[in-house]
Amino acid sequence: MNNLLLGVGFGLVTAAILALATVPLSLQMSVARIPNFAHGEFLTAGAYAAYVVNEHGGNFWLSALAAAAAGGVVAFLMNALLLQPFARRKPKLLILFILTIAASLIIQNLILLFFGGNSLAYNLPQSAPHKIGPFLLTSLNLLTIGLAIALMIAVHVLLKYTKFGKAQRAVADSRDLARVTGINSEGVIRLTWLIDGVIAGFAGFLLGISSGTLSPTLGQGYLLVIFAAAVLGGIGKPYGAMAGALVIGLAMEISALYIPASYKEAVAFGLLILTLLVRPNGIFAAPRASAAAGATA
Amino acid sequence: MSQYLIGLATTGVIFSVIALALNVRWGWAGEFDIALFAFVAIGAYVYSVITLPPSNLPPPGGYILGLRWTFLLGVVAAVVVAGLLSAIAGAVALRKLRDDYFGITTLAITLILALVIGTYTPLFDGYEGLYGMPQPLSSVGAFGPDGGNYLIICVVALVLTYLVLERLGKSPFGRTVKSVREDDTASAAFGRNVYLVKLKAYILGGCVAGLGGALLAAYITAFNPYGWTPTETFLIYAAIFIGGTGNSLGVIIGAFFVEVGVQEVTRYIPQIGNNASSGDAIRLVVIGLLIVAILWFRPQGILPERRARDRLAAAGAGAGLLAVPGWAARIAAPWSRQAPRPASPAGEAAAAAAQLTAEPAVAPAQAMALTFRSPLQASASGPAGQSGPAGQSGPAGQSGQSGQADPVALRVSNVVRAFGGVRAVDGASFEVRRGSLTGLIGPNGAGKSTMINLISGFDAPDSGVIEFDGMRIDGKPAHAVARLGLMRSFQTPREWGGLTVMDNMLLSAPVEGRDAIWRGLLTAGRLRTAENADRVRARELLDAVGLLRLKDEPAGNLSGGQKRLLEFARLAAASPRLVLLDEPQAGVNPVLRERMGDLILAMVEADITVLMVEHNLPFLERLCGHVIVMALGQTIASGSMAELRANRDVVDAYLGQEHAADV
Repeated sequence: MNNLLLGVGFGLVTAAILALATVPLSLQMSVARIPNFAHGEFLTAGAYAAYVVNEHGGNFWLSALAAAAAGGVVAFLMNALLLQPFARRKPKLLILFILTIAASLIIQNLILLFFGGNSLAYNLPQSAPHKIGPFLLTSLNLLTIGLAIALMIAVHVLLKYTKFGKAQRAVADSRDLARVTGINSEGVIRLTWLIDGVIAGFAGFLLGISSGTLSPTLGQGYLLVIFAAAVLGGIGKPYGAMAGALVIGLAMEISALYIPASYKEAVAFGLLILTLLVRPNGIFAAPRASAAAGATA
Repeated sequence: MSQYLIGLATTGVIFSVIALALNVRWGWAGEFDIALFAFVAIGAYVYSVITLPPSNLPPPGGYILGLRWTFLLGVVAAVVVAGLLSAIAGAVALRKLRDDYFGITTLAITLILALVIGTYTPLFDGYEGLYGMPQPLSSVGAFGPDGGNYLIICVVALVLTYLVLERLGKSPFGRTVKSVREDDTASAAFGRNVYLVKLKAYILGGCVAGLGGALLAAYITAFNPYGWTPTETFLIYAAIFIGGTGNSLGVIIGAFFVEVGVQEVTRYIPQIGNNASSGDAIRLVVIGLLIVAILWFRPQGILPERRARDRLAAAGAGAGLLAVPGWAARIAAPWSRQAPRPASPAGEAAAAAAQLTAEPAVAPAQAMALTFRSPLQASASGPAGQSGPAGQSGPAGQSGQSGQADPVALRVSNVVRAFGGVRAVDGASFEVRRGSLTGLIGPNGAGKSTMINLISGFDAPDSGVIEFDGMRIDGKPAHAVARLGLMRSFQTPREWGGLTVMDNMLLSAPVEGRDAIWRGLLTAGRLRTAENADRVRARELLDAVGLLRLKDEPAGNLSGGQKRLLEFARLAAASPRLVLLDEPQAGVNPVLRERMGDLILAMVEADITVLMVEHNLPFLERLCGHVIVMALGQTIASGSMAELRANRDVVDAYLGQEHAADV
């Protein structure tokens, strides 16, 4: 029982990082609708930028800022230089998917080129774990959870109460309709990618801290776990992504108590496949909502 | 030949085989498969444990089997196991998933497989991997003392793979697989079981990948899980994009370019600083950039996919070397959907060719007489003259005969279909009389298109019964409904855009099991002669709608009106018994509209029952004696247009709609 609660504690930390990594992907997929294979590289770019600042004496907050900035720049540029020019030609969705794979190859290996393949680590103050209720968590763990909650609220406010959020929902619903009503769709999409990258870059920093070491495949190794959370919550649904991250995070850490820890990612992948087969629109969607979509499209 | 060059050539040849495997899945079937290299790995592992001696590694290491069997048995086992695992993975991943979700699922399958193989050491020695696999003929050298006999084995394997795939690609099987890539909804509408077709292509690709894996394992004589990250699969994609998606020769060129060319060129880039990975990093950045560049500048690749040529097989072509004779057909007959054709294909081809040349060109003005063939004609003097027992798949199956007495061809009873809270069809009931031309009208949102989807099997009703010739068809999948002879058109024509107009016609003709893999492989010559009749008829039909000169063009290049005409020609080729037309007038100009009317009347004259959704009421009145009215998901009236005009409910349904729109 005690072990189980410890597992829940770790699960909450994992879920917090996962939510920060998943919500921006889902946000992007609600608007730009691109299954982004390079999303993991946004995290990696953030993690390495934070490393550079940290190496030069930057503290947690400065490193976090650098991570967010780097993730934002990479995401913004990938959209502006690569995806948008192609999107204007109205290609098949798969072509855009493949382009993000090419982008992932390029970004990941540029990082490999500049930083090498050896594992790197942050130099951040360590703290002994506190006992909080039944959980055993470090200050950094607590900070991670707190920041995740704060950012989730920020995303909620952004989507719900700002003009941008309104425009974003309009574009998500129908790009053409939004355009004829005077919304700059491309501008909204550009801004969405920027926000996507900023949050993902920050998530990469936290992921780098929690996994202890950085490597150029940090983000890509995590990509499918992110997709699992996104799909579970319903792709393109930022709020569902939060719930999906919670489920996947808890499932991974709790399963690690009962089966070899090396299989805990397999648990996430298994949940991903299962969700796609049984509820492709996520666990919160009505099961048959899309059954007839194919015939009339 | 130096050892270095032999090494390069062997690498290129093996990766060509692997690239051909992906070309079946992605190039032909359009399956965005990220798991390819997992099947290469399976092939490599299986080859290894079949040919290696029993494991004597200390626990927890070790590997299964260790049979010391010969190279050839190892290769066969690799192909079989990779095919079986492809069947399992494909059966899961291909279940009605969107293309991108399919890709993600295959990636998940790959990573789970890698995790299990890496962690569970008794299987293939975990992350340590296997080494010391035997390489056949490595001791003797065909090119002097430098060895190279293994290269010859690889080349033979590549040539055989190439020939088999070329043959299959041109066969009806290949055409069916490519149709699914172009538009799987249209494939289902013309009787193809899309899931099964995709699965077959996936398994075929898996078998070839297994072969590539076996060749690879025997060449590098070592294999471990680090050798097959998803990046390896992406490199093969790069090879296919660059060489030419769907073109086997181009794919081989691409494989040499990416796996040998780029590799060797970037090898000479000096190491940057103390970064041991700089060479690899630069190579992969270059490949990433190459993918982007080729997709921007030349998406079809260096050698684009070849268009099918339309030509009639010479008489007697079926007597070729590989035209597997009666015995093979007899053995396979119980499993195939249709008994083999008894008629002599050679004689038929000659007759068909003679007919074609003798026939004077039809002038466009009189071309209106598009000869639809009634179901009876079709079965009596069908395209290939099959008169044997018609299988369930035949459009003139047994149910047709039993239904002749019943004057009702289509009966819809109390059908309900709800989407969330919206009851799009809400207890609709109606009948369509055999041989009639019946209209289906109703204001927008009345549930007409949903009804068409329900009848044609593209959607299943929540409750209610749909009967076609006395047989219940509600809930049957679309391809099964189509095979019964109930065909449909779509609001916007759906053609297989990347295939030629002639291929579109051939795909629409009744297939009768001709697109089985074994037929494509073993009886290619016979298939070509059997197809002659289809080609001749297709040319007639295309001529009748004025599209004959475009027969070798990709159908996607046609104008909107031409696509509509092609759709009618395809329906004619299909010899259906009942046709559902979903707004055939949508987006058609007035001149063509007249022509459409004539084409629809031609259908009815050929004893084809027609149910037509249409908004153009004068057009409908001119053609249809009987019209059914739907509103809010229910059938509210039926009768002649004159009767309906006098019907208060019908007027209300339309005017009410208009008033509502005004508010």
